[in-house]
Amino acid sequence: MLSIFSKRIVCPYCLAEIRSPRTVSSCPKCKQEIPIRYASEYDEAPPFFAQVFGWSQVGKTVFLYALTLMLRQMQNVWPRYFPAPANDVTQEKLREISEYLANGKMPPMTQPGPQDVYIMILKNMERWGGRTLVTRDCAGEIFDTMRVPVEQAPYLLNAPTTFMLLSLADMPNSGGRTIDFLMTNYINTLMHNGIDFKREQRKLVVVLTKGDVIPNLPPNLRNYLVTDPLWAAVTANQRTGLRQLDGMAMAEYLETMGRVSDFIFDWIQRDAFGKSFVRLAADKNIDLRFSIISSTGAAVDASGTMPEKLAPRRVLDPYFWALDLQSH
Amino acid sequence: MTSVSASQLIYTRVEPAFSPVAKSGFQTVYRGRELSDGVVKAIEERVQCYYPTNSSPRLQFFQLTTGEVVLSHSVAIPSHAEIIDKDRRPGAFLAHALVLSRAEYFKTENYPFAIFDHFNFVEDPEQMVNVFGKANGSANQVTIHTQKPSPPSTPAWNGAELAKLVSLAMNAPSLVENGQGVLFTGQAAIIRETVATALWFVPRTQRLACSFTTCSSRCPTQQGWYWGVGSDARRNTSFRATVVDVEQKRVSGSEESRSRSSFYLDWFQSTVIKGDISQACQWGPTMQQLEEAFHTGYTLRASELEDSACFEFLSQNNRMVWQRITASIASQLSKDVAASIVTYLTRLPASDLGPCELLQIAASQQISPTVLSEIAVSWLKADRTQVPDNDSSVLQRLARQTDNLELLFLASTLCRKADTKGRDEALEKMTQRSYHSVLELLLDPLVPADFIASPHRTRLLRDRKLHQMSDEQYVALAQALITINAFADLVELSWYVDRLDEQHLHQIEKLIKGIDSVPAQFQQVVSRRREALGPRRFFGLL
Repeated sequence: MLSIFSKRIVCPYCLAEIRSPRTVSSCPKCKQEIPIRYASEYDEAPPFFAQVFGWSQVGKTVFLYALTLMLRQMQNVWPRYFPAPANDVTQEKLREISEYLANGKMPPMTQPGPQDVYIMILKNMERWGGRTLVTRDCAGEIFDTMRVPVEQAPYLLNAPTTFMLLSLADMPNSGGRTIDFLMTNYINTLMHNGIDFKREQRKLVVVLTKGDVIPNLPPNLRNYLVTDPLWAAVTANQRTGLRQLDGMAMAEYLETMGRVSDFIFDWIQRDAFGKSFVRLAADKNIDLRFSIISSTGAAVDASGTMPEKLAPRRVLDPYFWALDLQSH
Repeated sequence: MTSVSASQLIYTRVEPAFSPVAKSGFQTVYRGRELSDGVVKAIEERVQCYYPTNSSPRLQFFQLTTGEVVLSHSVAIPSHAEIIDKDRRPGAFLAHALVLSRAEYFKTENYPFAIFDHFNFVEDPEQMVNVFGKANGSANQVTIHTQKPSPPSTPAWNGAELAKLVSLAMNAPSLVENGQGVLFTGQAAIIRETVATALWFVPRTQRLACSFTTCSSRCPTQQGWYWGVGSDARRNTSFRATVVDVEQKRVSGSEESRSRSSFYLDWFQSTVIKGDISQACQWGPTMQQLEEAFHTGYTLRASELEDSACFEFLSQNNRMVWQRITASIASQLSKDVAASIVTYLTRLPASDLGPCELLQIAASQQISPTVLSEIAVSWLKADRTQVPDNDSSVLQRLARQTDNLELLFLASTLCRKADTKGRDEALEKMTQRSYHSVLELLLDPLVPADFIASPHRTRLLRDRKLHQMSDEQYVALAQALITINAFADLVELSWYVDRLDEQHLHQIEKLIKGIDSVPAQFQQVVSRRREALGPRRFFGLL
């Protein structure tokens, strides 16, 4: 019988719950090696499983790249914060991200099939303290079906919050798909896998990607995008004036996010498909939050090269939403 | 040249306008209509992950649980904005897979490089659309013309390391079953060459188990998927791996024990370890066929075998081979005759034996009556021993069955009492050449009278060996001529009359008495001899 003092952790690969009096080195179920810092700092930085959900080419990979970039840069903004990769693939990914961004090339297309698990320990975030961000990219092709193969999106069932990415700019050329199809696929997949929406409220952060190229975007949302204070903060220097964000500043930021979410909630229902999207979620008591981002800051040119001056906008918003939703 | 049919499948990333289901993303863009959804899904699972490390294509070979064989060729492709990805992201690739039935694949002798080296796989998105059309989703069956593979180039391999490599390949089934396999590390092109070399030296019935992928970098491979996995560097695998460094040509890790003894593997290992890799290349295909034939009853074609290799196999397996040949012969003749024939064959100089033909017989344990009758003729002509009556009958039956007149003659005469019916039947139909051939047995041991009933008997009557015949044999010969009314031929034998003694002269006189057709010349010779000997004495009295 395990002692009440046994340490409990969740395997970041197979999500099995592991109980042990000592720091485990490998998962007894999937046999994967558990990163030592993940296991030993589990209580100080509990895992935050980020599952992305979205069709091909909506910008999932670029979003994860930009999010990672911003999280690294937030050291300039949060006074005591620091990130650290927990395993080799994460460190390699960080190197890759830097190289891609330095060369201005888009990240490669994500292939179907199991992907690597990236684990990054984030310590001393303002407002939320320590968390371990656990992500796994997915190929958008798997979300084309009403029964998404969950083995390729392993956090979908277990993570309380999912990032649903929509590219409104690409909808006209998506072969007749509409945004409510994606909600349908999400709901059907969860129901097929035994999720009871009545007993368990799911939280969905809907991320409108490629915000800089959404046609007919309301001016206030466009303005929201371009005036990202976090981007300004991470890129500030001695000359422009360094600025750090404390707890109060973060609270204000979150409040603004809330207003933007409400606005998008109304705006997206301007057509029937948007209404359907929202009503499908409401019917299943899914808690929706909305954000709008631009992972690159400007359009990618015809050769696939990212803008000369990469300027991710509001890419931390979905992450902040997810942290906040999990905290309450 | 051999032609094989295959179904096709193309997997890549396309934009909706080029997708059969109007969706963007990685997908099966074209497939043979005859391919089931299950087969397509199984292939997608294997090909969908590919991170090329250089410009060499990835080659994959595997067998599905449904039995089909898949050969897949994948290349990195440019991210064509219209066809592949409007955002032109890097990382696009195209996998072109061929799916063959076992029977079709067997035509290539289960050697995947017979196809990889002779088929033009699609390697470019525009080429793909030109060949298959736009968004129709369908790929026709294709016919591939293959060639018999040439021996691999192996100059850099050390014999001991090559032996280990081939042993690993021949143990593929047990390795995979036990959660083991081979990790090939190095450049993809050299990995390809190494795998091709290994498979070339594996007997064809064992090649199916040697599934492989030449590039697995960053891609998970399920346990049991492949015997061999290629990678540009050492990596963790889902199986316990023996590592083959293809650039150093070195096999590390412990050598697996063989699940069964194998003549071929023993021969191969001893040959390459002593440094004779070129002999292994030259003799390998023959040795493989021989091993297969002796284990599975596969039908050998002697014309496809290398004589020297057959000799070697024969010398290494002498007892077993001759036992099987004896049994084959004994199924048509008696055991004693079979043993005698085999004894004769084993005495022949090596240059006179057709080793490949002998092995063909031993492997199949069947000997065609025609071949057996020819062997029997050679044996009888060589041994010239008397054949027991029963065996004589069996040999005569064989001779008639195979229209072998020489055998009919020999079987009818080389016995205790000549079967004149069989003998004369053979002589009457025999060609001159055959007649001259059997004439070798004149007076050794066959009597001249045995050769008379032939239209070619002139050759006999002028044979100098007749000078050694006895008086009894002369009389029998003359009697035989008279019996067939060949009176004129008596003249050819006139020269012997002067040797006859009283008794035998009298027999000749009795034979020709009253026969007007006897040539006068012969009668005169007989009379002359009578005059020389004087009147016939009865019991010593006049």
